[in-house]
Amino acid sequence: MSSEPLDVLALVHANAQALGLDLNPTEAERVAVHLSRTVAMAELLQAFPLDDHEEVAAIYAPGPQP
Amino acid sequence: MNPRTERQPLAHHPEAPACPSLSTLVGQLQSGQVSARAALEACVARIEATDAAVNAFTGKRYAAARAAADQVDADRAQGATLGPLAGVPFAVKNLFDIEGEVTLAGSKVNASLPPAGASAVLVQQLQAAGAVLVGSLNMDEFAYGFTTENTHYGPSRNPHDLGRIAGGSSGGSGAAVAAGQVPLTLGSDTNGSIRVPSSLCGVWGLKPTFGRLSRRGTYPFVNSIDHLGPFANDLRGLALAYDALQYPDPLDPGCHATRVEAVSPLLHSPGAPDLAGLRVGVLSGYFHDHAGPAAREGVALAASALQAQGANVARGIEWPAPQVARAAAFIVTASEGGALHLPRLRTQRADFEPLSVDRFISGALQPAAWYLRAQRFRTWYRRAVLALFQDWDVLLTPATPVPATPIGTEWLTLNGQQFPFRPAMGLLTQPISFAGCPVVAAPLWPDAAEGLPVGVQVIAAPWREDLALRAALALEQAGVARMR
Repeated sequence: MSSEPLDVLALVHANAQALGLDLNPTEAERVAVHLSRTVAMAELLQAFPLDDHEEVAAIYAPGPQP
Repeated sequence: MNPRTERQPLAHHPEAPACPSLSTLVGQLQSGQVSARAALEACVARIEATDAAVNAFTGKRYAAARAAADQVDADRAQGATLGPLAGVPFAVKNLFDIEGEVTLAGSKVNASLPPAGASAVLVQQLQAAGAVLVGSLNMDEFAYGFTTENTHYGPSRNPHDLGRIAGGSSGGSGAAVAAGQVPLTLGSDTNGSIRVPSSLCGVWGLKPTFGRLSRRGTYPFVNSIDHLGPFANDLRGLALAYDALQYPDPLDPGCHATRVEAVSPLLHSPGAPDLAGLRVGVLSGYFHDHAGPAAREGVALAASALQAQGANVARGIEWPAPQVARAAAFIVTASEGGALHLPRLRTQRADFEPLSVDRFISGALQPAAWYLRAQRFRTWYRRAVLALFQDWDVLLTPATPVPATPIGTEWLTLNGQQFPFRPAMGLLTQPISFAGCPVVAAPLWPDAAEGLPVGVQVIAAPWREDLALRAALALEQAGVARMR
């Protein structure tokens, strides 16, 4: 996490544009309220110590072993 | 909480009484004391008498149900062997495919999709056991909610007080059982969507181990966490249904079961289950801090009842990193759910549920690093949870922080902290489902709830549904957990 406060509304506008979501200003502000709550959760998660070797839980399998 | 006098419980309908307990009905149907057609017509009468008030059903298929019930009765007349649920009326959350019908998943945008070509695997499993599908049930749109305040199809109302929520997202599934409309329903649970409505409606619910039951033929929400399971009006009936649902499905990549492990034979010995030596822990810390007085009282009642029946009960047990687990579950849910619906959010978001559309968009916009961190945390978390269960057979905690609240509630104040109400109803369920543990939601009626139910989660290690059901049966037989 950056030590600078995250500009959540700017993040909403930038990511929405990248994903082709044309949000009007009112929509963007409403979404930012929700994303702000998620930012707090993400900070909690980022602060939790994880070993670099910890893999993601969802493991792709190419198919059953013959 | 409003005084009891302000409550609006479902009116009595002596002409259309609530259906009997599932295990009782199974006995009556198997013996021929009650015909499948008579059992069905009793449920139809109850639904017609009560659903204008409860709003549990979004689809009814009485003609097909009558044909199926008549087939059961014809089979019996010919001396054929009947399935274990022969003639039992049931209904399903409307994210389960039903052959020939559109799978709404609580939405308006799905209404234009073509009808399903086949029923969901779990619907087929129940039908193969002889059960009779009566209809489909209300839910939060695309399962993203804990209240079933569905703007398109109306809120499902709590039969114990029609001004209150039924819980969600499987609100219709909980309300239909609580209203006595059917003895058995199916729902889904990603972050608590079986356990929350079970708790608020006062019915039995089972969220099995992640990967135990096939999800094929249901509308997805969060592939990484979606579970399916039954609701019932008694514990033995819940176990019977769970056994019928088991089918190791090689065509569902999310089904990790390799064999059927029936639990009913373990529960059907007469008398109370022997709990001697059962190691029961009561979760503290986060789970205590996020529970109100009624929820705490419910857990205390359950723990004392199990102790009185010979279990070794310890209090003050700490679950590993529950707050981080809830954060991780929240982020995985938002990200996968948002990404799934991104194409429709671009073009049809005006038709989405107003109560959840902004959360879906927010989830779609989350940085990938958050999601990946959550999935890496989950690997650590699995080890920590499995280690905890080396010391315990069953763990107890409330299913919801509080009993059912009035429809439209926006904020929840809990032990001095204020939470946005709708996501907060999953505070106590999300860490458990993120670990994939099986949970029975048991209906309790603590004094502090003033006549409303509140559920207790009876949690076991992955793949040990038998332990959770055994402890839950003891609670039912002690009279502590029951339907009202």
